[in-house]
Amino acid sequence: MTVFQISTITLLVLSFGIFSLSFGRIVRIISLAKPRNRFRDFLKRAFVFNEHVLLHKKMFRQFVPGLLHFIIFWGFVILTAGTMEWMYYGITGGQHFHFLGHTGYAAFSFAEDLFNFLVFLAVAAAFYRRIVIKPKRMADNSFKSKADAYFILSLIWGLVITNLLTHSISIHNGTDEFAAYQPIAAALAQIWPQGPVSENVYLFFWWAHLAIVLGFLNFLPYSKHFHVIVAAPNVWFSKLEPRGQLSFPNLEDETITKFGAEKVNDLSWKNLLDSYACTECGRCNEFCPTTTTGKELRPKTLMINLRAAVTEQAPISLALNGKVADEAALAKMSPEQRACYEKELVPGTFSDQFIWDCTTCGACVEACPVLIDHVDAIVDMRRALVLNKGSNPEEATTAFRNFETVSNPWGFNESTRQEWLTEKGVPHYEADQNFEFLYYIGCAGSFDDRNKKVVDSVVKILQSANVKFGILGKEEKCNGETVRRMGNEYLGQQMMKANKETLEKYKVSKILTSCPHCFNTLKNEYPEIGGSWEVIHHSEYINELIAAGRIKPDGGKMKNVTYHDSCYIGRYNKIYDEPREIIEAVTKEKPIEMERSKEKGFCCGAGGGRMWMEEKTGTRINVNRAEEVIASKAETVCVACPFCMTMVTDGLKSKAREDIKVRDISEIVAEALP
Amino acid sequence: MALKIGVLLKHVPDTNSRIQLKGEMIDETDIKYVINPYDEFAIEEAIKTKDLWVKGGEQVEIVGICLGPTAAQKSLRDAFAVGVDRGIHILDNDKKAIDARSVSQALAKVCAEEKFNLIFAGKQAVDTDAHAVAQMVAERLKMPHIAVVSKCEWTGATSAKVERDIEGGMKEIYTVKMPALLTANKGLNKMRLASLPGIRAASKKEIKEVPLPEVKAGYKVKGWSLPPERGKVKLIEGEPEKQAAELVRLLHEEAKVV
Ligand code: SF4
Ligand code: SF4
Repeated sequence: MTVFQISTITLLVLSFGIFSLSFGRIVRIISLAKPRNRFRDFLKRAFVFNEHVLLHKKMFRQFVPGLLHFIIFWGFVILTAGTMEWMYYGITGGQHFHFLGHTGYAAFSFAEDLFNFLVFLAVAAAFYRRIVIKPKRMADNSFKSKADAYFILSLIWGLVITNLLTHSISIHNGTDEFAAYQPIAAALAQIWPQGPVSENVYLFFWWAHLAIVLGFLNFLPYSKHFHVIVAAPNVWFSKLEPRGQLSFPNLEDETITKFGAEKVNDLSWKNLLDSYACTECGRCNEFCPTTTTGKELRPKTLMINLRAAVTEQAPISLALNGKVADEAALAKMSPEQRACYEKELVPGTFSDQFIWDCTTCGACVEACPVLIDHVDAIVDMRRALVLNKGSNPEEATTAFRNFETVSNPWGFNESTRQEWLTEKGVPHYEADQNFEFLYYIGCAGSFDDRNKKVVDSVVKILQSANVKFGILGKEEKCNGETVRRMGNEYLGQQMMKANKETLEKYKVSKILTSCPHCFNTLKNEYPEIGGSWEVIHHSEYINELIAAGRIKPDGGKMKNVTYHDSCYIGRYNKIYDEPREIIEAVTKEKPIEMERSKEKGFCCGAGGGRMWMEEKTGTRINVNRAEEVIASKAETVCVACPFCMTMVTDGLKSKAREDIKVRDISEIVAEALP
Repeated sequence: MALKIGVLLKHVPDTNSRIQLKGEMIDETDIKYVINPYDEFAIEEAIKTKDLWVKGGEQVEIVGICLGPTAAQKSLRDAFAVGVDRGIHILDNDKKAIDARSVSQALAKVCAEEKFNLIFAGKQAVDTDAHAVAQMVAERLKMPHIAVVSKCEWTGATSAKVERDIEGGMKEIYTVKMPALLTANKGLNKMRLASLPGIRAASKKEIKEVPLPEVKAGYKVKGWSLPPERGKVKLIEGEPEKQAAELVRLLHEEAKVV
């Protein structure tokens, strides 16, 4: 064996040895965390992987950075094969992958040459973007994070440059019989002076390339570029259940005495993996209503700080081997270790404000290219606060009380629920009377005057289409969606069970809702407790009625309508087109689109129970949205959610623009009916 | 020495309940019962006081006392969930103790046996609005009492500085020595939410049921009457000018007042 071979092997063993130690440590940290089943459904996972890793679906929403990353990603895949050959060359003392056969190796050389060049260009463009264009979403990155990015980009550049130079020398020296398949390296070969380039120069670049590869590998676990390794598994293990489905913890098992994520070691391994996978790209912050209005909560910060907390506690959890520290173990810890071990995520890592700011609008989840679930982590931290300590914003306590005693957030007497509808003669749903569906009114439609008008419009539409439907009247209860997102899982589960019983008592098989929150939970969360029924939102149903010609709105009288997407039918359930089609049917023109719409729709500020809490910091979310409505020059803004109705109306009011009408999509239809 | 705090609490209809009559009697079907809201402040203050004293190395027990029908035990359990340690339920299914005199008599008897160092109660119960029971209990126990308290600050091991609300936003400031009875006003605090471990523990805490002692009521309830039905409200919609014109028309033609 030559010195060259021995040196290569020693370097490889050392580098891979060190890497497996640091990587293995992180794998252990992740695997010691709380369980979460993300292993089933191989095929579906493969599909998601294909879409989001191989095809970069979300990355392409911003075309230029998406394309640059796509090239670098695929470049990496191809160049990794090149790197393998590099190592093979070193270990064997000069062999190439010629076993691929002539054609195979020619193709291999060509691909490597091409991607060397493409990656070179993509990195140059990435430098340009960062230095000259300065994307806003990365402006708040820390110095370390920025330095990290430049360092990594330089390394990648170094990789392809040394690769090309080494090949160019072989071509120049005439020792590469595949020169014809490497146009870029061949062109580069021109730079070398007449006569053969010395072996030492060749070896210099050869070693430089290998050193960069191995240095890169060992730097990764300490860098945000660790996503190179964990982003793909993070996508693979992402949530396959409907996005609007919160986990359903067992609260009945009396041996479990702590709930939610109180400390780092209450987090699931997927939360940890999420935090390691975060690339700090800032896409999540872009449409986050709290970030936009200057509040504490920033989803990117959530992930960065979570990772910092995990890293801080890692030595302790590794020493404990994932077990909960008993008295003896606690006694052995130094005061600092103990403080770190006992530190609560709130207020230790995040302030109460940070965690309670979230509207659970899901804009962050939608935007994240590596499929991180921020809402999951936030709700879990809220659960810990509410269930373990009874700690929550004061206004939330009032709402909880109302939900608990009278099953509605306002505290209205529950025996008057839907009284106004009963008085109008809307029949009670019965199992055996051929009702097409149950119209589940929800709290807002039952009690709130403005939203009663919306329900009234829906009723008018249904009646004019001769649809036979019934309601539950005072037997309907709040469905628990809001309190669960406010962390009060116990009350939420009780409410769900009570409601499910009523729905089953009447053998309900199809439900219409006009509230996206009712819709989402009945459709996506009740199945977790065995509820099985079809759920439709009024925007879908009305659109169907129009399409089938069962109602004929007299179109064209209304003009200049824009549509404000509700998070819970939009992003959570992908109902984007139906409301727009309804508007088109009524106005005979496409709705005016606001900048932030559909997937990028901007929350009204009410979700996640925020409707029942005061918004004390930053500017107001609903006003921010109202400003966008005003800027759109629309005369009417349509909504499809009772809470959006309230928020957008209030937002416009505070801008003194009550001349812009806020209408539910059902109202514009009802108004246009003969 | 262990310290004992008593909390008097009442099981009352939620203030949003719609009270209806069935014949001569109140129709209970749609009524939701809850802890009297002012008693919630009393409970919270007791817990806060306990926390403070426990930090100071004392042993403290909070005992909730409730007089009412069997269903009233729910209010005791709700109080347990936030931190009251045990309960005494004076059972009165036949509604024999109907006035402040008889209720205070029964409560005082239990309190005397328990020998509380401190008693908290709400300033009034929102159902009967007597504003009297707690003070009468204190008098029967020969304990100093301060009503309508909005702030309570412990200045020594057994003495507190207490503010009570009086008319016009004024405050009266007292110092008081234990044993004493304080009745809570809104603003004293806000009752915490029960944690889940608290809710679970609540079902295991002890409620001692005691029969209603011989009490003497000062009066008998003869009956109830409902407030007169509110007249129908008519909403006038449309442009301001049209609304005004319509209003004038309605006042003139239908209400016949102009
Ligand atoms: S769910 Fe919405 S409010 Fe909450 S962090 Fe994500 S984007 Fe922000
Ligand atoms: S959470 Fe996702 S979107 Fe946000 S910075 Fe991290 S990788 Fe980017």
